[in-house]
Amino acid sequence: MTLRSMLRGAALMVGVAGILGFGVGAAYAADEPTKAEQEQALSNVPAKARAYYDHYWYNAPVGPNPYANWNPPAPPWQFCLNDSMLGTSWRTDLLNELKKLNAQYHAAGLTKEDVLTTDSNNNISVQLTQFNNLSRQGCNVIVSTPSNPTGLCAGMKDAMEHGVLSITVQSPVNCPYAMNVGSNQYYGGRELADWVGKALHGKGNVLILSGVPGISTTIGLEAGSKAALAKYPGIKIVGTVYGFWNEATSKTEMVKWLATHPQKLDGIVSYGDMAVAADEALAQSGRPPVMQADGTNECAYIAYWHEKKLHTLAFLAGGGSNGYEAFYVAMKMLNGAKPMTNMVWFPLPALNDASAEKLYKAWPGITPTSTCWADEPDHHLVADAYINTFFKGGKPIEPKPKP
Amino acid sequence: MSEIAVEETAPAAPAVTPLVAFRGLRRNFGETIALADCSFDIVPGEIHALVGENGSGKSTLIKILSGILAESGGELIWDGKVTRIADPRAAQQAGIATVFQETLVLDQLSVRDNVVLGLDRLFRRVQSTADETRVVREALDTIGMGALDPDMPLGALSLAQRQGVTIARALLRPWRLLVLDESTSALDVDARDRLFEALRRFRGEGRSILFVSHRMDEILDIADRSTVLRSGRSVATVTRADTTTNRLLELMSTHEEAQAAEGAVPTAPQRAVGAAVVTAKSVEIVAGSGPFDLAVRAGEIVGIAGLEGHGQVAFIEAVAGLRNPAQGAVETDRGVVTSFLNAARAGIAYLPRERKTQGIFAPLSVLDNLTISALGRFSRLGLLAEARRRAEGMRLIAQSHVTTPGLAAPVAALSGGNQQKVFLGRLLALTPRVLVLNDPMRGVDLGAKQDIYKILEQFASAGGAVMLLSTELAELCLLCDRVAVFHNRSLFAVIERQALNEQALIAAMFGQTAAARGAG
Amino acid sequence: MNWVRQRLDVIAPFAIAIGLFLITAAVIPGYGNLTSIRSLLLLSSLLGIASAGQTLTIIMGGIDLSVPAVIGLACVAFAVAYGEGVSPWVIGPIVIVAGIVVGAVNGLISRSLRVNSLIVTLATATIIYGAIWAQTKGDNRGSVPDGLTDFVSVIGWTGPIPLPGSVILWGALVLVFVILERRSVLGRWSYASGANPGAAELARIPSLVLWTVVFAISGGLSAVAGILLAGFSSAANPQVGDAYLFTTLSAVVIGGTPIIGGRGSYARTIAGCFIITELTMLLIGLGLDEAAQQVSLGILIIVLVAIYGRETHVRMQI
Repeated sequence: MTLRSMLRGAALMVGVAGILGFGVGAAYAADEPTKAEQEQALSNVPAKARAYYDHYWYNAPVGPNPYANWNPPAPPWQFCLNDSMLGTSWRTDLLNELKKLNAQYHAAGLTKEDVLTTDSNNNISVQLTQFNNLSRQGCNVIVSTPSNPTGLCAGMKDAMEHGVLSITVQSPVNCPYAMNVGSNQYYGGRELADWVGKALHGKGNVLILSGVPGISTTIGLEAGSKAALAKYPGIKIVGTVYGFWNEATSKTEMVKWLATHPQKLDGIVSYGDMAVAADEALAQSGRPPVMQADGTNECAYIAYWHEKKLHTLAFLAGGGSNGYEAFYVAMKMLNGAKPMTNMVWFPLPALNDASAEKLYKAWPGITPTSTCWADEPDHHLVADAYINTFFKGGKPIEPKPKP
Repeated sequence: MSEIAVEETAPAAPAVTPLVAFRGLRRNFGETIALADCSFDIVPGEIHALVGENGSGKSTLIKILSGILAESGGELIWDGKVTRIADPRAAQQAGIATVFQETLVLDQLSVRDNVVLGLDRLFRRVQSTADETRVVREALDTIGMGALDPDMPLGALSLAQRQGVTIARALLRPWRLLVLDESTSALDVDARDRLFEALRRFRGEGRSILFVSHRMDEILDIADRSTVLRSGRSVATVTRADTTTNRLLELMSTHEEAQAAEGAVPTAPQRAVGAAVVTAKSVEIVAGSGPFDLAVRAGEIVGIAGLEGHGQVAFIEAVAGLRNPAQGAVETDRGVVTSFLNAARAGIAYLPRERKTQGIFAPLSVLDNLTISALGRFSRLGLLAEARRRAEGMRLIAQSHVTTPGLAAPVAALSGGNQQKVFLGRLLALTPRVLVLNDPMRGVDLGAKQDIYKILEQFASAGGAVMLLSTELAELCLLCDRVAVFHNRSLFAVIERQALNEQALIAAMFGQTAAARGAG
Repeated sequence: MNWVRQRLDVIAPFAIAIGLFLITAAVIPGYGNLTSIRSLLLLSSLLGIASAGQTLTIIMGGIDLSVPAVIGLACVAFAVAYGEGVSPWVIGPIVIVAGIVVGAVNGLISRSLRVNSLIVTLATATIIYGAIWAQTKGDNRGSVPDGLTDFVSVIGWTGPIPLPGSVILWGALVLVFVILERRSVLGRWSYASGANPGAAELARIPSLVLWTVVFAISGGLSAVAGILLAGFSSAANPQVGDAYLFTTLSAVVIGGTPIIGGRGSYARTIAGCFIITELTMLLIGLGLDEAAQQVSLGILIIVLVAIYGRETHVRMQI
C-alpha cells in the first residue's frame, strides 16, 4: 500500500462521511415558537387575518408596528425601488406597477416624478450599498426585494432613524425595521397540496416540484405541503425535485426523475413557473398528464392549461399585483394610518378551472411560452378593505388609486 | 617562460591557519558532476582569485560556501574546524558575505531598504531611519557611491548602481570572508577602483576576499593568489608573483577532456563553401557595446562562443528574429530579419536552448514532434495526409538517427539525447537553409552527441549553413570551420579552423587578443 | 493485463460509464427500458454538444467560461426572434454566427493580449448577460418551433430511428471531432499548444489563428446548445445555460482530459457526459437530493483525477 493509495482511500472516506453528514444536516427547519410566543405574536394581527398566519415562523417573525414613532413626511414623496435582481418579468411588472401608480399621484402633486431604481444582480452587499444610497438621496419610501432576510437590516435601521419608510415585497426581513407585505409560504404550500390531495380523492403518488433547495421560501412551502398531504393516508410523497423556478432546469430534472422512477405518478405539487415544464417532461417520457397544482399565474401556465384542458389550482401572485399592495400600504402610512403589525399578509386569490379560463380570456394572445403574469385587470390581490383592517386612524387616500 | 612556480593543489601547510580550506570538495547533480575535486585554502588577510571558464565549478563552490548548496563529499574547513554550512543564515553567522553574479534587488524598494534587506533582526528595531541612512551612505561610500540618494527606488538606478547596492549590502554585515562572484562586471572603472581600494584596506585589517572575475587585468591587479578550476577540479593555485595571463589561460584549457569528448574524430571535412546566407551588418547587441559584422556562408559551420552573458545568445536570437539588435541589422538574401516569422520565411530554423520548456511536446508522439512545424506540407484543406506524413516521419527518423519504438511513441518516453535528435529533426523537416542552434549538445549523452555531429556535418555538406552556439569548447574545435568569440557584448575575434584550439578560444573569451594570436 | 494497466486512464471513464449504467439498472427497476435509455441519451447529448468546444479549448491550454452565457444568449435570441415571427432558418444561423463571433473575440483577445482565457471568457460572459438584460429588460417573451421541441424530445424520432435529432447530431459531432483531433492540422496544433505553449510559438504554430478558431468553434457549439435548450425548455431564458459551466468542465475532467491541456480527447468527454448524466439519474433514483448529487460529483472528480494523475505520472517517468 503506497502513500498515494492511502491518501486516495482517505479522500474517499472523507467524501462518504460528507454524504452521510449531508443527509443529517439537510433536515433543517425553523424553530417552532412556544404556544405563548405564538399567541403573543399573533395578537398584533387582526383576528380575521390570523388564519393566513399558520406556521408564520417559516417566513419571518411577526411583531408589533415598527413605525410607532414615525411621522409621515409632507408631500411630494419620493418613491424608490431597491431591487435585488430586475432580470425577471415578475420584477419588471413590480417596477412598472410602482411607476404607474407613482405617475397618478405625481399628477396630483403628491409624489416626485420618477421612481428611483437600483438593481444589485442578487449581490446582497451591493444591494445594501444601493439601499443606503437611496435613503441618502432623499427617498421617502423604499420598496425593496431583499435577496437575503438579514442583509439589509443595518440599512433599514438607519433609514428608519432618518424617517424613511422601508417596505419589502414577498421577501420579509428578520428585523423590526421594515413593513413586510406579502403572503405566507407555509399557507400557500398547504393550500396547493391540499387541492392535489382532494383532486386525487385522497389516493395516489405525489411528487413535489420545488424551487431552490435550502432557502426559507422553499422550506416554508414544502413544510406546508407535507403537512397537508399527511392528512391523506392514501397519498404517498414519492419524491422532491428541485427545478430552481426555471423551465429548463425543471424539465431536465423531471426527465431524469421520471427515467429513474417507473412507478405510476398521480399528482404534482409545483411552486410556480415549473408546471408547464413538468407536464412537457411527462409527455416526452411517454407518461399521461397528472393532477398538478402550480403556485402562480404565469401566462404560460394559464395558456397551457387552457390548451390542454387540464384541471388546475393556481394562485394569483404577479409582480404587478404585489406592487399594488405594497404601494397601497405605503400610501396608508403616508396618510397617517398606524399599522398593527410589521407583517401585512394576505391570502393569495386561488384560481380554479373557471377563473383561470376567465383570466385566459382577459389576456388575449398569450401562449404556453409567454413570460408575462396574467394578473387581474385591477391588479388587486385582496380587497383594499382587507388591508385596511391592519391599520388604525389616518386620512383617506385621495385620490383613489386607479387600475 | 621558464620556472613558473606552481603551488600544487595540496600545498604544504601555510604558516598561518587558513580562514577556510577546501579538501577534495565534491558536488554532483544526479549524473552531472559540477565539482569533482576542489582543494585550496584562503588565509586571513588575503585576496584570493578564482578563475575558470563556464561550467568549471566556480558558482557551485560559491553556493556551497554560502550555504545554498550542500557538498556531496569532501571537507570544508572553516577557521580550523570541519564545518557544514547548512543554510545562508549559517554562512552569515560564520561571517561569510556573498555578492552574487545576479543583482538580487527589489525594484520597488528604496536604496536604503535594499541595502539593509535581511538585516532587520540586527538593528531595524534599535536604529532610526536617520541612523540607517548614515550606515547605508557609509557602505555606499566605500565603493564611491556615497552620493546615491538612499530614498531612490532601485528601479530607477543603472545596472552599475544596482550592483553597487548589492555590494554595499554585503559590506554591512560583520564579515570575515567576502565573496565577490563576478560582481565587478557592471561597475564602471571609477567605482571599481574605489572598490579595489576598499578591498585592499579590508585585507590590511586581516579580512579575506574570494574574488571571481573574468577580467584578467583585474585578477593581475588585485589577487594575492589565484586558484584555477577546470571541469570541477582545482588544477593549480598560483601566487601573485607567478601569475601571468598566459599561465592562467593555459591552466584553464582542457586538453585531455577535449579528446574524451571528441571520441571518434571525424576527418576534417572538405565542404564547398558558397555565398553568404546570413550577414550581420554593423550589429550592436546593446547600445554602445560596439558594432560588428559577421557573415555565415552556405556549407559552413560557424561556432559561437563566449563567457556567459557576453552577448552571444542575444546575437543568435537576433539572427533567429527573436529580438532586435540595438543597431544594425541581420540580413539574408531575402531581406532584413525583423521577426521570428520573417526569419523563418528566409529559411532560418532556430533550436532554442531549453528542450523541456521551449522544444519538446512531451505527451505528443514522435511523429507529431517531428512534423508539427511542417504540417502544411502534408495537409489538404486542413486535413492531414497521414501516409505522406508517416513517410516523412520515417525519413526524418533515419536522417536524425533517432532511436524510437515507433512513430506513435510519446516523445517523453525517449532518452534526452533522442528527444534532442527529434527536436533537430523537426527543424530539418522545414528544409531550412540556416540552422541556428543554441547549445544543442547540452545534457546529451555521448552517443547522441556523435549523432548530432553527423547530422550537422551532413547538413553543411549538403550546402546548409550552421550557427552553433556551444558551451563545450572541445565541440567547437571539433566541428567548426571557424568560431566567433564574443566578449563584452560584442564580437571579439573570429578564430579560423587552422588556429582553432581551446586555449585560443578561452583567451578570446577572456578578451585576450595577444593570447589568441599567440596560440595561432 | 499489462495492456489494461497501461491504458487504465483511457479505460477507466468508459468502464465507469458502463458500470454506472449496470448498477443503476440493477438498483432501479424499470431503468433499463427504452424511455429511460432515450432520456439518458438525450440529456447526455445536450451536455455533450455543450462540452465539445470546451474540450478542444482545454486541450489547447485555454478554458471557456463563456459557455453558459453564449447558451443563454442563443436561447433568448432564438426564442424571442422566433416568437416575433422570424423564420428559424434565418435566426438559427444568425445566432450560431453570433456565437462564433463571441468565441473568436475570446480567442483573439486572450492570445493577442496574453491574458488568461479564464479572465477573458469570464468578462465576455458578464458582458453578454448584461447585454441580454439591457436588450430585454428581463421580459423574455418568446417561443420555439414544434420541430425544434421534437428535436430535443425524449420520445422524438429521427426518420426511422427511435432517437431524437439531438442524439443523432451528437453522434455526427463525435465523428467530426475525432477527425478534427486526430487528422487535422488544427487538432495537432491544439495538442502541441496545450502541451507546451512556450515551444508552440518557436515551432511556428500560428497561435493567434489557432486560439481564434478554437474559441470560435467553442462559441458556435455553445450557440447550438443554446438553441437546442430553447427547444427543450420551450422558453427564452438567459439562465438556461447556468448549469453548463460546472457540468461541461466536469465532463471534460471526468473523461480524463487534464485541465492543463495537451492531452485527452473528445471521446473521453463523451464518457464524462454519460457518467455525469448517469450518476445524477442514479442519485435521483435513490431519492438523494440536489446537495448529495453535488457532493457525489465532486468526490467522483477527485477520485478520477487521482487515478489519472497517477497514471500520467508513471507514463512520464519511463
